[in-house]
Amino acid sequence: MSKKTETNPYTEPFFEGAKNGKLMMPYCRDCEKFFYHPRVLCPQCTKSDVEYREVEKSGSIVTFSVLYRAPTERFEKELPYAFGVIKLNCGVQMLLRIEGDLPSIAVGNSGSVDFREQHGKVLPVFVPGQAS
Amino acid sequence: MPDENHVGKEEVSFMKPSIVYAAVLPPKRYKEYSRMDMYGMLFQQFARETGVSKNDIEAAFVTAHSFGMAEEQIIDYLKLSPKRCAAFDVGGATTLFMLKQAMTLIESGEIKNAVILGAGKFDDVDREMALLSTSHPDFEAFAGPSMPGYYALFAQRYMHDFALTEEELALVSVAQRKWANLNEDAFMYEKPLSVQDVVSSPYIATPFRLFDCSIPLSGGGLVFITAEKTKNPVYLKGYGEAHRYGFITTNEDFTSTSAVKSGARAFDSAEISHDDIDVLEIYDAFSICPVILLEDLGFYEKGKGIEFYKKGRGEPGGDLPLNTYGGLLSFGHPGMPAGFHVFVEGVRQLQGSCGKRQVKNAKTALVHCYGGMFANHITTILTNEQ
Repeated sequence: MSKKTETNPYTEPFFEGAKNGKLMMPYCRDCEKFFYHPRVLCPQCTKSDVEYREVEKSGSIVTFSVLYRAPTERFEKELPYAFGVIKLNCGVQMLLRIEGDLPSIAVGNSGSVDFREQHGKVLPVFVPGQAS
Repeated sequence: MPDENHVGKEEVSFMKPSIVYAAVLPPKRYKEYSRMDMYGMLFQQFARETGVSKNDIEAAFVTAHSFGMAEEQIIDYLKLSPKRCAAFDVGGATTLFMLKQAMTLIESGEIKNAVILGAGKFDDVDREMALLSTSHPDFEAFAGPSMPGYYALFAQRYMHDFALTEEELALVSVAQRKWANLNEDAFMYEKPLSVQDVVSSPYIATPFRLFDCSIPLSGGGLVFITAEKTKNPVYLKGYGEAHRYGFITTNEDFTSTSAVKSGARAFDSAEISHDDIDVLEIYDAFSICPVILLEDLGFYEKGKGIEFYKKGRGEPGGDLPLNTYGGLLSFGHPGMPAGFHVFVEGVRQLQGSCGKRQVKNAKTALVHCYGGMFANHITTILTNEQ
């Protein structure tokens, strides 16, 4: 079963950017900081003086896990696969699928975000070693 | 001869709520029973053992269900008419949260007693719903994370930062199994476990192998709290709660949790020190959890928690017994009501009713539970001394 990712005016620029290979992040003009996940307000100041800016795709692995059991049936055919928390150079963290040779994935690996069509949507993944 | 001080003490002791009954439904598969039937089984045992009539129950709190209505279910199934009734959800910490609500309401004089209960079927969950509720549905779920995977993020980073090995981590599950082997109600009662068994079991979510993970089963528990004087009372001496992040993406520390704050708050309110603790009951959905929590709660420096296991301190015969019922790792994990397994054992150790696994002269217990993806932490300190 594939769930449709719901978009709304606050999240749509992120997914629209992904379709064009761009990593678009919400930026609070008041706090002068990026935040993620996209939402109605800036979670720091709770105001809505927010715009989307394109950011560098480079970052590094904070932590990760390689799964040998899938959370649900729709992921079973992809096993084994890695996912992890990625710290981007713009300051935010993302939870992403990590591509590449599984045994060589390690905490601290740098790389960059790329986009893949998954389950009928264009979504971000992290590719260790790849320069943005 | 009436003495003013004596009379004053009597009044205080009457109003001070205590936990007088605590029991679990031993975790199994219970395929033939609904969750409501499990509430019924818990309640029947409670009424039989205490003689309390359901008509005298003034509050009933229950762990919430994914699609709600747990409060309606217990009212309907048991035909209760309490002054207060609600379903709560703080994940695995819900039991301790409900305990605090019950205690506070009794202390305020609003109610005289409360029953808190929960039943879960963690072996029969809608996996799609579990994924979309433990993860941000739009910004995390697409990566395909799992619950073991989320906790593995902590283990991976911890092992990286503090050079903890898989063999060392395996000591946690082995220690739990030793307690389970003393507890007939534990799912793994008859099965021994060695470090070799753990490190040769299949990977679930690296670095976790099968035996680093608790056993999803059905079960639950029921606790009764009252302002009336009864035998074997257990008191809530300290309580601390703390929250830091929601979804895992924004967590900025994978080797430490908000148990640092909940633990400090609990010790402050109890006005005791770590040396006063006789027994520990710490929620252990995965092997890394008690290692991190022993540090966060102030028993070890960061990175040194595994020393507790290397010295066998928490095992049967050790100087600071930990998870004396076998832990969720070897006793079984029923989902949100798992806090009952952890908490009930703390109460029963202080009541002296644990048989072969009884900790001698246990007077003070620390019970710690967490909810979410290691996000919501509650620490309680219990005592059987007034």
